[in-house]
Amino acid sequence: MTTLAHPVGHPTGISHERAHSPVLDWAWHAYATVLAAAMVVVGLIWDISWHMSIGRDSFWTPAHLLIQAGGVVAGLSSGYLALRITFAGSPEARASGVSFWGFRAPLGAWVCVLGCGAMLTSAPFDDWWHNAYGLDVRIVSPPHILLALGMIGIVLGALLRTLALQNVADGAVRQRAATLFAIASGILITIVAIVLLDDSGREEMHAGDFYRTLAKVFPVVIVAVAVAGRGRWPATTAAAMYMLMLAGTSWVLMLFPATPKLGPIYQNITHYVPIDFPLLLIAPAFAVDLVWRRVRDRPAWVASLALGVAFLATLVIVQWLFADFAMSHGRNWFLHADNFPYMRVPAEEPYSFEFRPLEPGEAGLVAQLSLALLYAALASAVGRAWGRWMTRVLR
Amino acid sequence: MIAASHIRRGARVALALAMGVVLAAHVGSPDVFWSGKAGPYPIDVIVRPPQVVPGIAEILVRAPDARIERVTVRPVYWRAGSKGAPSADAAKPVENAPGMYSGRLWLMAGGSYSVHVGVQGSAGQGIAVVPVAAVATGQLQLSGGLRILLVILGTLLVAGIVTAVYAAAGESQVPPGEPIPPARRTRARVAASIAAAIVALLVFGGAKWWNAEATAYRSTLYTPLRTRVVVRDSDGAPTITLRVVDTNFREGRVSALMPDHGRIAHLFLARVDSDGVLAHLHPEQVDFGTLRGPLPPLPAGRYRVFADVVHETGFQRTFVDSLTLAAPLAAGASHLDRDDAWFTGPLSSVSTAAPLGDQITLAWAGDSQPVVGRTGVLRFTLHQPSGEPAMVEPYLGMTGHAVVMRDDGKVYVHLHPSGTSAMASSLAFALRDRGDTTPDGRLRMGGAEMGMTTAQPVREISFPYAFPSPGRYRVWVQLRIRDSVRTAGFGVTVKE
Repeated sequence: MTTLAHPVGHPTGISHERAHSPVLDWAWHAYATVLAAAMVVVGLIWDISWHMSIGRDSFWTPAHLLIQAGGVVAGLSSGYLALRITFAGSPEARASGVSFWGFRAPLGAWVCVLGCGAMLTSAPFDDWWHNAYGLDVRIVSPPHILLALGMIGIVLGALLRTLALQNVADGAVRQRAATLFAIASGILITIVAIVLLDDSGREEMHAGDFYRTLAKVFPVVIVAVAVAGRGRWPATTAAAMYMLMLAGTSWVLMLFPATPKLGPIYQNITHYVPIDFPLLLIAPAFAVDLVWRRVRDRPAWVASLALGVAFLATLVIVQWLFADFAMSHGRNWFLHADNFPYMRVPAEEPYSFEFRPLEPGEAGLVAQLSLALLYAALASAVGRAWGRWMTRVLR
Repeated sequence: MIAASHIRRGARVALALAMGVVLAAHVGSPDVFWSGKAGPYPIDVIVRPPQVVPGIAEILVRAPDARIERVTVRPVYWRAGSKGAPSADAAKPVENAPGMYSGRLWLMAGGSYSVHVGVQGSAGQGIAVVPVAAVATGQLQLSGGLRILLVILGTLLVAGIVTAVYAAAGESQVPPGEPIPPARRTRARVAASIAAAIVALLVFGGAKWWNAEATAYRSTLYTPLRTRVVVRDSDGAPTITLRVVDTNFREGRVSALMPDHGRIAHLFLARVDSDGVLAHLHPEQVDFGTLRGPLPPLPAGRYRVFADVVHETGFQRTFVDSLTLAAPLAAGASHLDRDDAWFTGPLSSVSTAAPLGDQITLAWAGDSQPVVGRTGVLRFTLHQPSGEPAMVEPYLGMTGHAVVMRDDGKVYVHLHPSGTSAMASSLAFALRDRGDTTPDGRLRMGGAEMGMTTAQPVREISFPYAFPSPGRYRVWVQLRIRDSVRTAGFGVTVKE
């Protein structure tokens, strides 16, 4: 029998048996939002590959359609849920959502609606931007940021929906919800990794700057997932999901023919060019999962420092060695290190297989890693706080 | 004639843009008109470049030959050559317009492009090379409707984010069905207030960012290089010197100039305060950024100066300036080139034939009431008393030259029967694609000039063009007859 971990309608907080809850009736919506988030992120990976291989952009490219379809699935399913709960839900069902401008639905559904709204708003804005300032002159532009915020909204919505289910359910449902939460977290890590793509190239992986950048961001998500997940290895599962999603999409894309439709073309391209092989985040995520079990009850600063050290040390060791390997043995379908986009000038190719030398005035490795450690500890503290907040999401 | 509806549609698009009036080659006349042959097939091409780069150009091809089965279009960027260009796209037949094809050209980098128009049919296949300059020329304004839509959606989003944070910090943490404790409600209000402040900061920062992007974009808009024009007396003959002031140009950080019709520059002087006066001169290049040449005996007055040059990249450029002649210039014609020509007569109307001397006349044969965007308007008939066609000799490799200028000088274009492109541009692309460059990148141009070489009997001459905007225009046509360059001037009013 499925039960609820948190009692419903019992102000004293003393648990009592629950036969059923409306929260469990809405489990389909958690699946729908995770599916929507996955569509958005796979679409995004496809879109980047499209820009590297084919180039010609329009609203109607298949990658864009997949992203928009993800937005529509999230928006419509959430909107439907909100309308059903508000106008056709039992008093108990209505009491299980949060209030939003007079309507009632789970928090994750509202975040999905907002994400969908941001994506919709970005469409006419981006179209105008292209006409006003040129077609995709810059990846980072106000309408693209709005679109990215919309996508992140949908992923966060999926995360919140799976969280609420995980935190409220018990037994088998909770296990499934915990897995679903780890998958949603993996999607979130993927989108964060895509945002950092420009700063995390292979040629950067022996530079302190690379680790400093990653240490600022990834521990926030990975530690939060480790803290909030109710599965056995939440952060590890999430990081594995990220790696599988990124590499898997790339491996599939590479099977399909593609030729550049924009010039100037400097590479002979016959199939989709994939984005870089994912970072080996599974290793630091595993370390974080392990360490969190031991520091769970320690003071915040001790826990954060331990988590930061575990994350950074594992990342440096694994990624550093992997980079060496990828430089020398990366030119194959598995690691696809020779993934040059059509506009890549051949003269620049050798630089892709050399580590970037230290620039004049740039701090040395030890100084950069020390700073990275500080960032990793601070990011872990933020992640810990966020994770603890997530454990309390019940609607 | 290319269907006017298609051109008008484009004109509407152009009008929707608050576009700049200055373009790389020519002034205020962005569309490229090209007329010639692709293999055995005669074709007419119009390219409407985008106002922003990267952007999408529209291309219309008129290929009336019944043997034609397929028309393709392909933009080739100067730096990459045809090896680095994407595969050609099939141009789509235009509905209800037999022989018309339309397509889109993705111009992804600023600078010189050649558009390869491929034609295939039962008589074989051929390619026409049409030079197109991709430069940012205008800035799109945010329309009222879109502005309102974005404000409404933006407001809803901001309010939604604040509400979501309020729910996240409050009700979402309360077990289903329980009331929200007052302390949590307070905490939620604090969180929502902080979120509102952060979102407000983000919106403010986003607006600043947008303004910075718009400013950065404006700095990429094409503007003519600054020049200085001076008239001096040199060896008893008045001389004009046009000096490019722009440092990049002066220091040779742009590609070298190449001769067009054997001349490094084609300089036109058109008097502001009188309809008819025009001079077409060919100064020499004294140094990289200086053009100098003798002036004919022109009357006093204020003149607009337009100098057309072609870079070795095939990029056509027009320098724009003005000068004032306080007194009429003395005749110093002995220094003038045989291709230099000037005209001081009155303008003819569309209904009056213009005299060319020796009782030969040139009459306007295009629309008597020209409208914006309509092609086929610049047609002229040549008459001589005997009724025989006049023998027209090559003038700078062409049957004729036409200059179109709006009275306010905001539109200026130098045309040939082959269209708006300089012959040198096509040549540069042809040489480039054969890889015919020297190690330092300079093109070997020697002896490569083509064009008309012998006199031909001519009854009618036309220039592919469509007026880009309404207003009062002057149109000059220049032909060489009996070893003398003859100029006819017309005044026309172009309506919307």
